[in-house]
Amino acid sequence: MTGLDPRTKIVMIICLSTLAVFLNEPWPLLLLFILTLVILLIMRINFFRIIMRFKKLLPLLLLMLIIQSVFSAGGDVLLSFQGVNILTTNGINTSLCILFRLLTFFSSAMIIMTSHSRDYVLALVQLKIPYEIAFMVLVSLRFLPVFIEEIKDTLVAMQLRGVDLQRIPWRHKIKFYTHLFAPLLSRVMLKAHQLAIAMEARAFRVYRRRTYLRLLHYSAKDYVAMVFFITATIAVLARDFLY
Amino acid sequence: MDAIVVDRLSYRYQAVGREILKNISFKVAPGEIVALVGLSGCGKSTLCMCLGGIIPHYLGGMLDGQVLINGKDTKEYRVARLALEVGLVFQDPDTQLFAPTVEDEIAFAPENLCLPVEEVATRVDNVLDTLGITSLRKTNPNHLSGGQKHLVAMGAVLALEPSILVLDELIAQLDPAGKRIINEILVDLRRRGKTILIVEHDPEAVSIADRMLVLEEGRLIKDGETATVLEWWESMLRHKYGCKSWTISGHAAGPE
Repeated sequence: MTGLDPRTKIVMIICLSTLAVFLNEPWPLLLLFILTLVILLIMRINFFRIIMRFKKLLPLLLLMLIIQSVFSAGGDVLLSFQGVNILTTNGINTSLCILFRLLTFFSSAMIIMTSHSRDYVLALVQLKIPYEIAFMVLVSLRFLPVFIEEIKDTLVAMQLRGVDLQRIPWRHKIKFYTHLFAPLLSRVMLKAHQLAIAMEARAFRVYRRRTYLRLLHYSAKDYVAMVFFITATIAVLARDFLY
Repeated sequence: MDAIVVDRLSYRYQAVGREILKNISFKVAPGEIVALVGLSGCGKSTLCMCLGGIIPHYLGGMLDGQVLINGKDTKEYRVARLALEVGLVFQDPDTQLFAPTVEDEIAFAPENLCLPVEEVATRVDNVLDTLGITSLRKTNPNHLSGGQKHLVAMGAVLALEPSILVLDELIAQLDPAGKRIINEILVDLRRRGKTILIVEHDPEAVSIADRMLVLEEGRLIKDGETATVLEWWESMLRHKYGCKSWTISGHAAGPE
């Protein structure tokens, strides 16, 4: 599955996400999540990197798990306190569905990382999206690391001035982050403005059309992958709707 | 026809009350290398932006006077259109580079010109070869050193093949090897008929220039042959600050 056309990868992500939205049972969703992980491994995404990404999401996922377990009623009661049902079989089912659904979303989005951002520009352009919009996507992808870098630099600068983020209380920490955000946003916007100028100074949008040094071409494995994913998605959805 | 004509140019930013450029006039002939020197904050970069049409099209403010690039008034042409005549290399390469590889970065400009793919590929090869960065072709520009990023930023502009090249504080930021390479490239470009304006804070970095202009607090205070202006510069520094060269850029910088 390595070397697939970015358009095929976009189709794969759409299929996996669609199935994650429409499937409503924990087991099929778990299987879908495992399938997504297998795809990522075949695409040679570092397993450690996947784990690290999920580790960051762990608090959010646990919170969702608990909230859904407690607040979803119905099914057999497994735990109650003074007549109030706390844990039910339905609650567990719903929370597991949401957990596997979110995991599938996050992991399928990682398929994007297996191609160059420039290839997605080409993919969008070849899908007849105006090239200005395609480059907007490229530049926004380019600015994600810039944004993270700016946050890190600002935090280091603040710490060098004696602000110990580990020790200050939460209410002060929130105030601190509020103060941090406005100048950060202004700096990133300034950089974006400078980049826009630099792009136009290199004749961007001088004509309505532009050429491309490389173009994307579908290969046989792209067709196989697309037919497989689209057919499987339609089949699963049809089965769900019909039965 | 002169390549660059700046006629009684004055400019003030909307947010800043004072004039950044004050009644500047000069001409640059085709095939000439001209150095524009002055301390940081004297208006060099603002002048560069006037030459590329970024002022007034992008930054607004109050612009008086006229800038003609190959006879074209910068007020009347879009920045992207002026880019076909004048190539601008800005100070900070990080705000110019956005493509995932050096090759894509350099191909970006000729692709915008709607050139055939073969021509785009030839231009990319030529630029990589001229700048001696062929080995960096598939490298992500974010992973390059500062000097290499400057070379890529210059290459990205050279691929447009503009007749005029404006380099804003490029040379002084390079190491000695990088300076030598850029100077050789600039001499070669002049041989091929390009007009080059080198903007620098350190006059010693622009020894290849035929002519030197000195900007001080927005005014053009000297225009003459490089060796003569350099000599004048040194005597002025001796007279004003009791020293003979500039070592660090910026206002806090100063004479050694």
